[in-house]
Amino acid sequence: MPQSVSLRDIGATEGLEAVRTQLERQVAHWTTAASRLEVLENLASAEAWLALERYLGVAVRERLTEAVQRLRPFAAVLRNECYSARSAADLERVQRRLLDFRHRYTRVELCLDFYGDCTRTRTSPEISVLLRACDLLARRSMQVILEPLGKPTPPVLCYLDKGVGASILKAGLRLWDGSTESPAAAIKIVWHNLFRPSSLVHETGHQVAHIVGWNEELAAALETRLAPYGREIAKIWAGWATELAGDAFAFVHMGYAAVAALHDVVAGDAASVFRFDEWDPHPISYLRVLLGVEMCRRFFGSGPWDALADAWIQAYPMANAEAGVRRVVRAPLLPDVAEVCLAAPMRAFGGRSLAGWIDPRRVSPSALVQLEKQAGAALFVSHHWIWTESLRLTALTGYRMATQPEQMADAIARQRAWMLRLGALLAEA
Amino acid sequence: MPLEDAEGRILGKGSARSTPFLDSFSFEGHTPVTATEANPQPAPARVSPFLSVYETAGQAEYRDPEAEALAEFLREIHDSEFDEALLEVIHEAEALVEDRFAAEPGDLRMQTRNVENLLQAHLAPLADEVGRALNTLEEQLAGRDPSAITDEEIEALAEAYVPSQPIRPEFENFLGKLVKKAGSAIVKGAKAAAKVAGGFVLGKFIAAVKKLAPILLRQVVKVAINKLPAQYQPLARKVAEKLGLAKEVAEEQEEEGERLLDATEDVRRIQNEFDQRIAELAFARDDVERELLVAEAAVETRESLSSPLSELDWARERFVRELMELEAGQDPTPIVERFVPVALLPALKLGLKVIGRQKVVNYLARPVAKLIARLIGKEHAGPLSSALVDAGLRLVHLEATPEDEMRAAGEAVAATVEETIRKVASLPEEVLEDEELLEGYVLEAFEEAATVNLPDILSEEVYENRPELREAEHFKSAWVWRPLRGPKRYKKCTRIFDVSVTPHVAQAINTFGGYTLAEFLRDRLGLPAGRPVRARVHLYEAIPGTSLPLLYWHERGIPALGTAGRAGWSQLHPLTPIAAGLLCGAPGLGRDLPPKYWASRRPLFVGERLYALEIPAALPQTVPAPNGKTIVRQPGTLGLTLDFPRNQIRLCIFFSETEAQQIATKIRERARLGLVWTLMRRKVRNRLARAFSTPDRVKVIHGTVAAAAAEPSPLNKLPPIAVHWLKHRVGPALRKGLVALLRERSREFVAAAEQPEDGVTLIVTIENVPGLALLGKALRGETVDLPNLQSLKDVPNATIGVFAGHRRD
Repeated sequence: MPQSVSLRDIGATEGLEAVRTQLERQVAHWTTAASRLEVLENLASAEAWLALERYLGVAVRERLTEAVQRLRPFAAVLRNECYSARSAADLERVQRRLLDFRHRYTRVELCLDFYGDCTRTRTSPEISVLLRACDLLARRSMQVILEPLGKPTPPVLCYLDKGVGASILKAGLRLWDGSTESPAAAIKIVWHNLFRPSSLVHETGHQVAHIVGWNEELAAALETRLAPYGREIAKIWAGWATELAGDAFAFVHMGYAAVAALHDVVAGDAASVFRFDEWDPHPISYLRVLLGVEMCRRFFGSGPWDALADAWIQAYPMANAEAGVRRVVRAPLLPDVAEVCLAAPMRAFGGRSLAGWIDPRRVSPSALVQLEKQAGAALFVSHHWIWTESLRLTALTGYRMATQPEQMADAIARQRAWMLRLGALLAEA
Repeated sequence: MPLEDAEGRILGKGSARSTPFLDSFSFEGHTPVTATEANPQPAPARVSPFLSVYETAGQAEYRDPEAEALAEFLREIHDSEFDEALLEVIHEAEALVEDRFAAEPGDLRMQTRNVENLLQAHLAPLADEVGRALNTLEEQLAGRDPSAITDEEIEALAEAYVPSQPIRPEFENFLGKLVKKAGSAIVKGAKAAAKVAGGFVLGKFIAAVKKLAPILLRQVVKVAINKLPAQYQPLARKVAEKLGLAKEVAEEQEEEGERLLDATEDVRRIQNEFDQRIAELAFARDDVERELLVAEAAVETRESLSSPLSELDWARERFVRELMELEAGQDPTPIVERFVPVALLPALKLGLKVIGRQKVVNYLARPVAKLIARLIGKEHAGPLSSALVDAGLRLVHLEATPEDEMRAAGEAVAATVEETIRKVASLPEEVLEDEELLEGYVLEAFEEAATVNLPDILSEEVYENRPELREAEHFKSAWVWRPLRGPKRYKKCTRIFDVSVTPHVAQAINTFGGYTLAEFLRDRLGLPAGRPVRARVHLYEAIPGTSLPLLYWHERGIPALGTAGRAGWSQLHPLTPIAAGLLCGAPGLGRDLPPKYWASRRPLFVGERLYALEIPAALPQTVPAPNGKTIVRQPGTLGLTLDFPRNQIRLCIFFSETEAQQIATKIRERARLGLVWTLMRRKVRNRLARAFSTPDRVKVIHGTVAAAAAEPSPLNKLPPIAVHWLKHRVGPALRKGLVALLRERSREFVAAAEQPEDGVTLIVTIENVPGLALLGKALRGETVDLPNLQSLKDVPNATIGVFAGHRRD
């Protein structure tokens, strides 16, 4: 390490010396903080990391350690420049480097904190098993389409957090530090929806769309199909393609359960239901719910969704929407959107439609009742059914919750019980 | 034994004289005898209280009732789940040793001592708990009338024991099984002893059994250190004599020259030996004899441990180094001579009849050296290394440096030599004695070994004329030692295959335990049955000392094998010619698997081929057991018990969870009886056929059969016509019983399927089977009127018990 040289010795002013002292302290602070990050066991125990890695089949720790180690050369340069700074210009350069280093540090810390949090949420035995079940549901929902398309299904790491809606950090994306790739699809489940996990499948829809390149194709298809309703309208819908993809994916797997769960999440005040922001990839909530109902009608005919739509329209009179929003909302194009999302052949899906790969009729109310009859009392108990029909079981419980709210507590208890069984299937022997 | 210097070079007489320690010769008599040299004659058996078969010669009708009582006792205390629990403890111990010592060179004896210390520390918590658990058991049984204690009560006592401190899951599982076995042995031993001799004191018997437990743990240490199979066991002979089976055992020993070499100890032997010791205690004449037996056992536990496998590791290392250092034209005979005795170790451990070691050295070294002359030395190593790289060396040695690749050429030659030596050593003595004949055999053995270990180095013309000189013609491959550095634990094929396993292919391939690959993929890995599965196929070959934990430890980078616990170590399957043909398009890569090795993955035999499927979509399945533990999901099985004393045949039919739900669904849908029966029959028919051909699936309760899992199958003692008759008696009775169950009690099946346990078990009891008594006589070697069997046409009745979960008979 170079010997520190006092600026006073080389004729610097006292002011410069003071600046230098402040910089030296900050450099020491941030570089030692960076070296502390290398001890990943400070974030979660070694056993927790090991269990996570064995389970995911991915060396998460290795990738995070690499991210931290990438800070090392920057720290070395910063320290060297600080110790050898002799002029005000040198100190200014050190100041700039320090800011850059802090920025890098914060981004790496964000990566570590994120995975540390994910790992720590699994320390409670029950939550750990439930999250394993969520991981499995998420993986299953993707596998069913990615595998026949010859695409690998990424590992999934679900974690619990506060909030209203789920979110995803897709696998393979560059993390905050700009270098490290996300080793698994990290999906946030919110506490209130832990036992109504259809939003989980909305998130995996994002991952699938990203892997197969569906978003861009869907946007283009929507723009073409909706052009007769006006260029502007068509463009707006095309801009919502990524979220529509998620909704459609949730629908084909979960049926009406996905629509009812979406309804319950977005049913806020009128302002939020009609909110429109041209930069927001989420469609106007008012339309999202009605599009879900349209999807149900298209594949299942009439059913409890009709009543939901009536109540929705009644609860949120269009008069409460701004004029510009009303124009978008009034366009009678939902059947076209449903058609494009679900039934239009796509290159991304090897020339087939989404419903061609995942038939929504498997989760129609009649099909779910048929499943109940076939499996009898074994349905929520037998690990055969739980393993092979986990997505349909979620759809079934979600359907019951949607249509028999008076039995919500029982349905949740049943969902919890079988999710615990599902998670336990992946325990180590 | 040749004198060697520090470098392992043989010293001539002159060299020996030049040592300042001339007097060392006087210590010759005190030189420790290594396990490889030790070939102790079995101790003469003490006078047996029972008549041996020789004494009953000419009196075929006579059978000693006490010998039958001993056989019955051994059968009753045998527990196949105990083998599995013991295996888990051994696997963990082996993995621990590998983790700690795999890359640590050092003095061989010192390392053995260090390994022993490590294992003793590892097993100490288990040893403590075993002591406590048996004390508790003693307190619970003291003063009780053994005849009033049931098996269920013993099982409940074992289940109820809670360790005083948290211990590893495999320890806990083993502890439960040990307590159950000890309890069962104490109760049944007390009953048996009361019949044999008077003056029996239960407390003293329990104390004696307790003293045997540490011996069992010592065996775990022994197996983990000395991975090679133990030599012929004097104790086994002694008990065999008591059972009147000495002749059969002797015959088996005679046949050993043709048998395959086990790569590791057969864990089942440990339980058998433990049971035999308990049997000796139970059938001892008095307490004095019991004390003597315990003292004898204690002496055996104190014997020092050796590690012949480490000796082989070191010798290999040196041999490869010396091969690499040879100059062009230099004679390799001296270094081959030094390697031959150590390469023979695994064969000697099994007690194969190998002629004097020096004789073998003399006969083998020169012709083998001649054969490898054109493959060694700096001049040839380069091309050989290139050919290995061409065959895919870098696919399996991802971290290989150019130096490692050069070294791989030396290792390929060393592996060829080692296998040639082992093959030749197992030849009949008369061949080994005839130098002219031997030359041809050596060449044949060398060609076979070279086909496996060397890449394609001959011209296409040669391969066209002699296609057997390579294992596959469409691609280049070779088998290389793994791991890359350090002691070698197994071989891996340099080629990894990307395949699509179709449902039909999976259905046509059998795997360990009598399952099909399709059943394994569905029930163990949770893959949908009707879809093709994309997989990468990794191929492995067992060498002396190969065991699954070692293989997994080194292959942990492969997701299929990376999972810890049983779910992980059950991912290897036998690479038979059928499996190799269907999966890799090259049947030549496969090896036939004798019936003994189909039952489980341990022991493997030296040269056994295995494959692992790397399937990204696969997730090994486990289910919670009723006792709160986690167990792997079971594919469907069928076990057959021929209970001669009760004149019964019992079948234990286990339907996997998926199968049980398929059947239950059909019943719920009120499908026609014929359709439900067809679904059930398809599963039962194939498994019944497999049960007759898998030794572990047939249990024979008969005075001449001691252990539950006898090998070879006791059915082999019967004439084929009798086995054929048996199959045709069981089939119709089973059909009659199962159809009646579906017709009249199908709700019971559905109710069992609705329980959370894994699968449904049917225990079918066929009573009063006409002709079974005749087969019993045939098993005793008595002359029976076989045509008379054919005339017995009645289909006996079967009663069926329906149970949720996996049960064993």
